[in-house]
Amino acid sequence: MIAPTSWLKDYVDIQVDAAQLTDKMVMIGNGVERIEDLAQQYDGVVVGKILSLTKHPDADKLQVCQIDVGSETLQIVTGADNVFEGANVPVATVGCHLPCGMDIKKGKLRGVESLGMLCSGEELNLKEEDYPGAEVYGIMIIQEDVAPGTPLAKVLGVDDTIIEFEIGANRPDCLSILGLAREAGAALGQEVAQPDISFTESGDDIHHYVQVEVQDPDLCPRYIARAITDVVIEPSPAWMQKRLSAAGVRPINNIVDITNFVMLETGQPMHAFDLREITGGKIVVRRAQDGEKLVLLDGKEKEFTSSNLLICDAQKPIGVAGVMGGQDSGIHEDTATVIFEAAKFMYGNIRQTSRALGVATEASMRFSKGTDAVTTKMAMDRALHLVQQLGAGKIVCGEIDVLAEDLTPKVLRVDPNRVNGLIGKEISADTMITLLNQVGIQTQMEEGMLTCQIPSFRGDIEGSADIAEEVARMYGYDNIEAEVMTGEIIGGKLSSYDASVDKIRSLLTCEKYYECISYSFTSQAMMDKLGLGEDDPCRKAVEIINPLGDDKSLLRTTLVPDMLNIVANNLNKKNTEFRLFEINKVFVPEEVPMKDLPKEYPMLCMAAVGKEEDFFTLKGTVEKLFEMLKVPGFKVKAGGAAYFHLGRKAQIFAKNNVSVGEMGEIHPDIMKNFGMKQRVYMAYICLAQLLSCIEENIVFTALPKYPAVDRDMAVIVDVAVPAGEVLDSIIAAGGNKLENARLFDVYEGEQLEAGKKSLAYEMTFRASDRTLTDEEVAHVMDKILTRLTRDFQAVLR
Amino acid sequence: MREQLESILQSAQDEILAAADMNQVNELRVKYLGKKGSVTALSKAMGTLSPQERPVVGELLSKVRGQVEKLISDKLQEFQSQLKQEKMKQETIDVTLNSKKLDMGGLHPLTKVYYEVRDIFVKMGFEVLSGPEVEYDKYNFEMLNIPKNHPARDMQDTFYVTEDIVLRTHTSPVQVRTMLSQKPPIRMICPGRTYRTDDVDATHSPIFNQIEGLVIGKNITFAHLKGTINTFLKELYGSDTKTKFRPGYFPFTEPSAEVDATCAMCKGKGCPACKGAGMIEVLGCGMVNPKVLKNCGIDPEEYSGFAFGLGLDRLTNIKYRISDIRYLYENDVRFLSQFR
Repeated sequence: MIAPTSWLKDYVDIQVDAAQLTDKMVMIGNGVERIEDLAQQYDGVVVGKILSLTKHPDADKLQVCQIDVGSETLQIVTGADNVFEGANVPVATVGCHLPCGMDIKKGKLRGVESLGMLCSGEELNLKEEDYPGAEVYGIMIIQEDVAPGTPLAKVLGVDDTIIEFEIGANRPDCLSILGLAREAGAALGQEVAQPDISFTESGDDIHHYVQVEVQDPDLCPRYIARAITDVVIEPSPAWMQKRLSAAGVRPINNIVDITNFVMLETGQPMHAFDLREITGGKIVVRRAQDGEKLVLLDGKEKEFTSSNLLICDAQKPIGVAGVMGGQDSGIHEDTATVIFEAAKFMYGNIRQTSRALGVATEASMRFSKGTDAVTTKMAMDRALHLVQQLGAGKIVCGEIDVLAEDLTPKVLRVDPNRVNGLIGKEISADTMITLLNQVGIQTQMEEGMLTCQIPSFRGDIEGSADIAEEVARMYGYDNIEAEVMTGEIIGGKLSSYDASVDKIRSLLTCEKYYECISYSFTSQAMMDKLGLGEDDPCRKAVEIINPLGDDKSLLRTTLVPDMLNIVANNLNKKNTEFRLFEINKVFVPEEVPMKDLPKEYPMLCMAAVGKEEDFFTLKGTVEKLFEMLKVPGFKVKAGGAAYFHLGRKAQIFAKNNVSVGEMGEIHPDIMKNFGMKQRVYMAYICLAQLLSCIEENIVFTALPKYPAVDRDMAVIVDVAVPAGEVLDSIIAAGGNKLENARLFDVYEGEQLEAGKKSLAYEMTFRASDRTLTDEEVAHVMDKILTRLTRDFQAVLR
Repeated sequence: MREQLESILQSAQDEILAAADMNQVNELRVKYLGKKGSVTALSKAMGTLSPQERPVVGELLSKVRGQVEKLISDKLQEFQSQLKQEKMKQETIDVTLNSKKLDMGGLHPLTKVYYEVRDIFVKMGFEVLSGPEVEYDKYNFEMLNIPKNHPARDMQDTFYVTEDIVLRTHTSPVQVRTMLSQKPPIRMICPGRTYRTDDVDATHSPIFNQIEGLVIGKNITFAHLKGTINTFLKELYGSDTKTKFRPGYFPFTEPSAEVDATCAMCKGKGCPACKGAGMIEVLGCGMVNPKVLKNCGIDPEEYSGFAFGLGLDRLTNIKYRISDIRYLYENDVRFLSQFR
């Protein structure tokens, strides 16, 4: 809400400057977006009187003027040809910065020194309505006979400072000059004057002009109509135009300007109808019929439903209540009789209509946030006062006031101890009364309770917490001393999930991984890029009704494509070797369309790129992750999603064959889709699964008392036999005497038959109660070999 | 014989000290102490001596033998130690060559700042909770005193999934979930992703991160809120940090406040980061609205509490002077590696 300080001063005696005022306003809760001294934009621009004009010696189109700017006479070269000796013109002096963005510097034009610039209206961002002649081609000629050196701002009458306030959704009453004046009064401890709402009626009877029928009082609790005859449409006076312009509203004509002026001043939007456009002399306020249509003032046709409220005449809609009038219902140049509307429409409904139609106006914005029915009447009277003041027409006797709301002021009874209990400071009841009265809440003590009469425009005040806030903000948040919390001590803690994720992050960063964070949005196109099949479960995703774009229309069901994008972007930027990870959620709906919240699963995606990287560096990190988290039974099996390289992918398992994820090199086709050539290794792990396998019960085992026996065994098997499975068989056959077994060599080559490989394992045997004999060890070795022969047709090498 | 012994000792000493290498020393050992060595030969000749002479010469003989042995072993040790030195000299390395460490990766700056904030609150006895990102309208709005078509909904442009399900616009629904599931006293923070329909630019992102805080108990006051926030901000920005509480508006708190803290960049002197103000807005907070307590089944006559929310992205950008929020989500390694 833009408030010119001059307008606020009509109602409050403001003795401080704009900066001090805003400080005080901020400290009672009225946020400030900006302060603008309107004159400041013309700093350095003064009126100059042209003393002489001579032709430039070296340029036909330039003239050299000697110009009196009050303090001195300047030489300025100009290209304009509408200037003449004796003319008053705006002169931008050296060092000033013009509203059009130009900086004025000392210069030479074709060798002749020039100490400033004569300005056109355009260079000063002025329109014809700001100053007559501002849009004329050439230099703006100042008609007034003012002394050279007079600041241009003074000539233009621009001497105001505007303050733009940020208004919270709880204070729609402050979307008005009067509301802000009340706050300024409270902040400064000043009385606030009331607007002049006096007027004289001229006879006749409004009922001869118009009838009003409100069919849906639940959406329109008050509707006031007034008639004005003998209207002469003309521009409103300069003072009113200046006010409107300063507040950011374009002046139009006297009647429209009055409605806008009143809206800005009181917060109550108004509408003016030309009586000729109200067929049958009847205004009907009703819900639209489904499919009803109307062309609005902006020229666009809209279709309505029964949740939209319309203003109609005897036959047809003429406006959308609280949002915008119909194309023909407005004020015309020859309008002679005007019907003024001031009404209260319900905020929820107007908000809904405004959103549904995609039409937002100053009026709909105010109605959407809530107006009050008492101000409705005051605003109408204020408008009539202005009609009279401007001589814009004659006010017909009588008003039509269709009222369906109880206007009895709300009274709250609040225990002052409860206020102090919330604030945490002993403020006396007397002080509270003073502070509350200062914000316009008439308060007295009755039987130990604060008895507060809530003004109609403070719909936000509903209970003791609201009274506490009024007391606190007026008392000053600064004056409430901070206290340390006391009472029951609670131990701070992390969930075990958070603690585990912390460990994962810390391990991965030590393993050279950088953490990434990417958006949760995805699209079907992204899943195409990942080569997912039509019926891949990942395709079933949470759909956003109002996405920012097609590419952001779904919530992701996998982190993989985002990671590939991140990798590709890094490669494009010539980052060639890196490891990355992201821990984030995927969203899996139980059914589409959704009836309930989707499942949210935290996932870990890791990627490694660079000449040092291969499947096994990545496998090493994954395995270490298991060790660090105390997840037993790390195992991989060849296989996995189709976006991995056919022969270089694995499923990852924890103990009891719990599948926790997949890893591998990315498939060349998918690499191409993402525009990459380097090999990319990726692991994708479901954290919920992984963390569910943690077994952190560490129990001490006595150190061995008897020596171990080490043996090696090399066997020849088909190349396709996975070494890990051979190891599993060794461990199974080894029984409790086999303490440890490990693959240490793989050989394929000339010394072996084609299609065969040799696998060499190192084994440690030990018993806990005696030294094993060679015979015992040989016996176990035999058992192992027998098992390998059975399982893999293995031959001892 | 005594003269003989003394002359053997003398010549042994001369020869051993003059030996050029270990081989020579070993040869001298044979020459003097070996089976046919000169000292050994003399000891064999002991039998020819008279019983009176025998013990005297015997003593002298073993003394000479001992001395020769010591000379030899000292000389050997000297050579061995020389050899060791020699070998180590050859093994000299350039200690300034590259180490074999695996380079460090690093946490995302958002995570780093989150950890800082989290640690402060955990130390203050707060529990860390979480909640879903896709949330019921009821929890995100209605129970927080923002009914359908309430003007406060305009404060948060919302992504809808169905009429009743939204992408949470703030972490405040976790307040509701916590109050519904736990009995006071409650002290929790909840970090998380939040969503609003803002197009991406230097200062806006449709996805951003908040940290919510909630305290519910008996006799919790606005003064406690100030105490808690002040402690937090002093821990985060330094003990000389000043705060300013301004009245503000949130539908779910009453009274509400917006909090400015001394600009961490300029320590209050005024700089581009704080637009010359010396203070910078860091969070919103307030006393939990009694309507919200009631909605969540907590009796506002018995309990009170406060809540606060802060924008992690903003905090991160201020801390590291990151000029454009988009950097946070581009994940360029050159960016990420600056926060190791």
